Amino acid sequence: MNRFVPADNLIAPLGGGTLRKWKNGGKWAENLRKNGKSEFIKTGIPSTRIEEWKYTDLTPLTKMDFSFNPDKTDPIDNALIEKLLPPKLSECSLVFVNGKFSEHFSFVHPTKGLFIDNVRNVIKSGRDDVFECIGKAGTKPDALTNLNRAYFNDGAVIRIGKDIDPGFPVHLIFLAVNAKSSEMFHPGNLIIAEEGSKFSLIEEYTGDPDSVYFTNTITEIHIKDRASVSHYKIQTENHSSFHVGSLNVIQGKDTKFFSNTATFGGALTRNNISASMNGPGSESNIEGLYFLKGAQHTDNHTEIFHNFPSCKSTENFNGVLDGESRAVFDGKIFVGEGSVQTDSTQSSRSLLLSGSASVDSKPALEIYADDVKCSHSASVGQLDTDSLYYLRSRGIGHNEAMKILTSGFLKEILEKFENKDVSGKIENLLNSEIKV
Amino acid sequence: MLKIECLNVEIDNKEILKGINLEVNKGEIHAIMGPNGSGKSTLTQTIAGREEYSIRSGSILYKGMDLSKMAPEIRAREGIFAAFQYPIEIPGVNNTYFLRTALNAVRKHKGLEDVEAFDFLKLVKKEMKEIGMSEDMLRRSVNEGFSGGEKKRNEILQLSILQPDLAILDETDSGLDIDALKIVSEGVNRFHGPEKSIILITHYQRLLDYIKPDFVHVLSNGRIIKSGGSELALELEERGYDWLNGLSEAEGECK
Ligand SMILES: Nc1ncnc2c1ncn2[C@@H]1O[C@H](COP(=O)(O)OP(=O)(O)O)[C@@H](O)[C@H]1O
Ligand SMILES: [Mg+2]
Repeated sequence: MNRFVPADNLIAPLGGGTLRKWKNGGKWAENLRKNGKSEFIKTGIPSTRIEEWKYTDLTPLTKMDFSFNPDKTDPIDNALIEKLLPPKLSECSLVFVNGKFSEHFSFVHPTKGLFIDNVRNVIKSGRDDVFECIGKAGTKPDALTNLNRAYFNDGAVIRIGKDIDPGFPVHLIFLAVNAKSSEMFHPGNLIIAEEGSKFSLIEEYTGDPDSVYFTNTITEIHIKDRASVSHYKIQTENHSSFHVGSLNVIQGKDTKFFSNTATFGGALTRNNISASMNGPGSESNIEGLYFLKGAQHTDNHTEIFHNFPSCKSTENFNGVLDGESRAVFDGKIFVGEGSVQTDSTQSSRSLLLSGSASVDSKPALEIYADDVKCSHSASVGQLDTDSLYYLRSRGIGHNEAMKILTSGFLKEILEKFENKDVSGKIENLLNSEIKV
Repeated sequence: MLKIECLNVEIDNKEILKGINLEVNKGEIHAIMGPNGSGKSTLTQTIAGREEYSIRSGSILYKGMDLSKMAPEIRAREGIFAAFQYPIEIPGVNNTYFLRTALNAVRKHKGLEDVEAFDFLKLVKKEMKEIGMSEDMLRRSVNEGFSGGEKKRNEILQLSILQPDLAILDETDSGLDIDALKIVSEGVNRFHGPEKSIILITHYQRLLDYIKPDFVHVLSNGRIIKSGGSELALELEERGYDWLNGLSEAEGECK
């Protein structure tokens, strides 16, 4: 197999050109798309011979006829959307239906120092300045990023002003509905937290059970000096969907970043999380949990860059696998030259409920500085027999005890999610998923 | 209540209990003392139903039922409670949730309704206060990050909530300072009654200053080599275990 596989089918919906709509805002968006498209065509999608994709095979994507029609003429019945829409976790929410912003279902309430809009509107209104920093977070764009940019058309744009703390999170909901004939969505979100601000973002991805779709989303977060951002991602896509989500974060000095990811859905999921600490005294805390069953595949791919001294990172992923499901953990910690007094811990643990489930773990430490504290641990195993016995010795039945321990394993991570509405929702999901 | 006859138990093909005879009647308190490694915890866990300990021969009858065929959770529901020498830490499992699930499992077995969340909380808080536990421990995961003493108190909390009929306390006193020892002993004494039996496993006479046993047994190398009244504990305190060495075959009626 070659290192890359041509995937013209993924670019075919653009025909010979690019998305030319909503171009009132000048040439930058058009360039972004044009560049994304040409770069993507050059490579196609990575095969498993590319190290970063060793355990996750994207080639099934090349065999599907995805359409891209964000402005479908047959509008989807509002009652249907209403039924499928997950409960709002904030007084402020932006809803995207099949990749397109829905005014009807969104609610944004004006708050001093907080700019919230959708990409199309920002482009239309000519606010090119807002997008100046787009693409600056994250490492060199990969094929999926290029593909996303080729279709750049909608998403959330949020800027939190200097020293502003809105006091409420913003909830982004991406819902796939009635996408029976293989659709793809390429949302692009941009968050800018100015100096000293505090912000919390919840991204939720879900779809109706009958749709066949591919979500390829990018969220880019700029955290300026002294700002603090918490990010939550709840993914309950349907079990025949593909989901590739990138979270690209760039941090200034004395910043805090909290990433909290819960993955339940998707036939194939890839979560890319990249955090670059580009100023001293910052911290990155990346927590993740997943519950997989059947033939689900989830790949958590993280990179944390300690580019300055005195930064701290913690990373913890716990996952439960049933059926023939498969998980990948690939976590890179990079400590650049001169990044002294780095403190970094990483742990990845999986619990196998079935003999046919499997996990590939690939932690990587790259350290080019002295006076650094780095540790990582990885484990794959079954439920702890001592704990199981302890619960049973108190009268709790075997199956109930298994269930308690299984959800407890994920709750270890969930306890660290600061937003209790989010963790409550995930706890409910856990309770309904973990059956005995 | 409990009748153990000629019990032989092994783990990993190693014989650890070598013919134990012990009878505990309703309302009695028995103390079992003995040097490290003599098999006290093995006896505790065999009664509680730990599967790794396999019964080679002999029998354990509890309320006339053969325990060897009973799952640990059924034993617990029938009223057996073993306070662990080393309580297990279970991260991610909330202590309150654990206690309530256990209580409801026991109640269900007895044909009782689930306890209401509110009533349960009231009960737990009252019991926690009695044994000097901070309410903070309700929000924490089971034993996670608890100090040695806190773990032991958490065992006694479970004892007072679950109200078993037979409690086996495996070195619940070790690692407790004198104040904690008093509080824990008071908890055990509150639990005790004409229908409740207790087996106290301890190294130290000092626990027996607070909880007065009806019988004292010495376990050595997998056998009970001497039994007596509470005065035996005092004698052990004075003379240690060495003077009993010659007795190792004394009560060897089991083959
Ligand atoms: N899980 C085990 N595997 C192997 N040997 C064990 C195990 N548990 C206990 N033993 C052995 O059994 C003997 C009795 O241990 P134990 O019952 O813990 O004694 P005590 O509680 O009186 O100190 C010791 O020799 C100990 O090493
Ligand atoms: Mg012991």
